[in-house]
Amino acid sequence: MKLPMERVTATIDRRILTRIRRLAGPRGVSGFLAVAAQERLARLELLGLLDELDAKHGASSEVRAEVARDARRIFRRR
Amino acid sequence: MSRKHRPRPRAALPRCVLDSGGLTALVGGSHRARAWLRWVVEHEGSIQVPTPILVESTTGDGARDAEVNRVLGILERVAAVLQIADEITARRAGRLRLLAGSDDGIDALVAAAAVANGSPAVVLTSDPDDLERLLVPEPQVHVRKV
Repeated sequence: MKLPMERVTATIDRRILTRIRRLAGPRGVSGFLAVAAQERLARLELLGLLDELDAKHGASSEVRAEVARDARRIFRRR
Repeated sequence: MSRKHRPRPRAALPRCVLDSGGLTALVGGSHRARAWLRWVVEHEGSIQVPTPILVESTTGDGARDAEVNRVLGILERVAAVLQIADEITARRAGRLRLLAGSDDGIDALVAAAAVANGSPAVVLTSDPDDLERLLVPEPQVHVRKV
């Protein structure tokens, strides 16, 4: 089943748009932006779940810092 | 080779695998489990929940499973975290189980899922001993207690 689509007007940095056009592939700019938006929404929803659990159980900045150090070492991230 | 020309180690996309203890810890309020997931999500990584752990995490009783189902439902909807073991993963689990002298098939499947393509990964669990033993031959996979 084809999902209903809606046309929108968006403003985007020209340099970014040039890069998107170069990389977008057969689904074009719209397809590229739809996937990017979907990924961003998924991440935000996951963070929302974690915020909700933090609010319920409390959050620890010490544990977060410790985990971040460990994770950066494992995944070689800054 | 001079320091200037030494190639930099490449950063890997973070991968995080939850076993049943990891999922229970997440639902049950573990700071550490949430901190790991948050870091992975903020760094565009992926979260995986191998389906065999549902044997240990669910009971089939809707009321009893409500909180696990709710969290799992969100994780699955937004990030498709549930992962069915294919033949390659199951055979890899068999090899890890033999090498470790383990009789826990579910832990072996979790370990094999974490090995995946050989990139670094973290397994979150409440009981690291067995998984650490299973993953001795795969040092790129790290087991963390949550």
